[in-house]
Amino acid sequence: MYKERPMTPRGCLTLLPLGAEKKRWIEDRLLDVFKRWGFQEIVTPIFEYLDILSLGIGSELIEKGYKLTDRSTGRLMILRPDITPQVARIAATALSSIRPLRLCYALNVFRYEEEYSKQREIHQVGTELIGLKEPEADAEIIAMAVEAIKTLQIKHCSVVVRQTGYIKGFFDGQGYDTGTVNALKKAIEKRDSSRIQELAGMKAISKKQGKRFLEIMELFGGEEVFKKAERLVESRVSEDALRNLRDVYGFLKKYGLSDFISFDLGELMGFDYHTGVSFAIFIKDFGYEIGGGGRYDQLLERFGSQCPATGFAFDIERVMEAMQNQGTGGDIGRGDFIIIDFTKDKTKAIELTKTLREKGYNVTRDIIRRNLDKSISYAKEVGIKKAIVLGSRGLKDADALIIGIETGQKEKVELRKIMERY
Amino acid sequence: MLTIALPKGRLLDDVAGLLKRMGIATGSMSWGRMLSYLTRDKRHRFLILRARDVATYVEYGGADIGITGEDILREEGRDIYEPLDLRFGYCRIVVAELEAKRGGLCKKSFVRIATKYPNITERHFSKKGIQVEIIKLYGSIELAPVVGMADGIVDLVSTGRTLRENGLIEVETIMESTAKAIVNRASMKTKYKEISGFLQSVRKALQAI
Repeated sequence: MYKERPMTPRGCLTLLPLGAEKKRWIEDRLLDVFKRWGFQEIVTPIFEYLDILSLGIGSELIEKGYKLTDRSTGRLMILRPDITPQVARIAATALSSIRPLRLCYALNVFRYEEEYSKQREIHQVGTELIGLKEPEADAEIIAMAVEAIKTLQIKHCSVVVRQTGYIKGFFDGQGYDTGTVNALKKAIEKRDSSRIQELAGMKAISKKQGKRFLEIMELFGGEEVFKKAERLVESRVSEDALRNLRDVYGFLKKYGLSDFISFDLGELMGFDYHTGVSFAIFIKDFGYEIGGGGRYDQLLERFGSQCPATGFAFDIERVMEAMQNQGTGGDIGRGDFIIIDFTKDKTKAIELTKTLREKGYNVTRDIIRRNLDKSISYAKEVGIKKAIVLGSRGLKDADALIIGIETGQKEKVELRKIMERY
Repeated sequence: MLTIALPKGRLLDDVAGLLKRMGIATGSMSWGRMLSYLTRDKRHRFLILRARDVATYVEYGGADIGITGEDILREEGRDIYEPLDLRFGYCRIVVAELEAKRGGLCKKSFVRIATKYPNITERHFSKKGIQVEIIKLYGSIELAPVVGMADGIVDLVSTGRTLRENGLIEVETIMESTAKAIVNRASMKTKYKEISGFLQSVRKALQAI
């Protein structure tokens, strides 16, 4: 019996011509920025052995991974759910002699999501900077992310920077049991001030500590946050974290980026491998972060080479959505000309097409025989900007008609002048 | 401007009272029929939604802030902030069974449960090591055991009257629930001042009760 079933799995992306062009355009621009900062592109395998990659990914991500079996050995494999652990594996093995190591990539990852609307195939463009623990390295990554966004002409971006060490310092040496630590972490992740008060009420944490965590959750803003944060510090761990964050900010100021940066010292959400400075990139009036990353100093160790590292990635679908919301990038991937020739001979059409292509325009020949209106609506549909018409009725041999596809504006021009104009 | 998603139904009266105490002019807002409402000073836009949809709107950035029950948050497990317990709208999610078959549920290693809360139900029974087959229903859950379709139900109760009227009895409480203020993750960063101002004024209004 015939059943109506979807033709493609949920959450995968088919990009039609203009969308695919946009994705390629974004990836090219981002990789171009990264390359100008000295990062080199790599490609990782689309699946890996589960037991190996599991060394570098948390249990939640492993669960979200799509698994398959290796036909020859029967070992379980996983479609890569994250690029960073793969890069960590490569950096700890094949490229272990090069430090610092600057790598970038444009690759897709696969994560099972229950929800209808969530992407299960995610296209990422990212970078990893391996072998540097210096604050300038953190700043480099953040500054490069901001430049990348500017290159895409996305407006109103803000980078929210955090240092998880700061808040972790308040858990240390308090003698909390695991249950309390987990409850606290969960409450902080959710910014649940009521739950913190409840924990204090239950005497799981002291009143004073409860108040402290509430204050930490309020530590959001610009430079001014540092002073407030300093006053609360009660451990070396927090103190070091704060100093480190200040140092990173010092470099960001040298990059001239203080306007783009805010700090969020009460943030705990993120990947389990992040340590130290991490960040997320937000766009005004856009409901998700479009990218983010941070330091993961303990990840390479899991693959056998102790080494500090940091990096970040953009989620390309979200970048595309943000651009669309802001009304930018509408022209990406659109063709420049369609050449329509009503003469039998077509010599002029081919000559004109050839010349324009040589000049770098992208030019479509409308080979098919049909009336002008049909050609124009075709051009509209495939996104071509202008039509050049030759040999239509009432047009001299030496003339051509230029038609703006969107505007419908017509202009009669001498054919040889077209060559000069474009 | 802040977009705030409010739940239709049992919580709405309390929410309206809260907004009034916060001094947000909701004067001409006819709660019953309106889908959205912009305050005269254009600082707040309210969306009136199904309680279940509130968390969805907030997660996807359709609203910056939302108010909904904790039962829904635990069921849906959304990636959002939950900064504030509003303390009203108290109710419980309970397991109930037919009074006539009292005690039957806890003796089984495999049960069939009718519920609007499949995730909460699954988690609860899995913690106890009991396999559960879940029948997802959208209303009148109490009937499922009565007609013999399920061994018990997991549902929201406030007074427990509906349960009693259908010959059901509470076996255990899975969780307690009150209304919560929730916030979109990106809005919290990009509109921090507005949002923390709003939450602060909610806190004040709550203290005044």
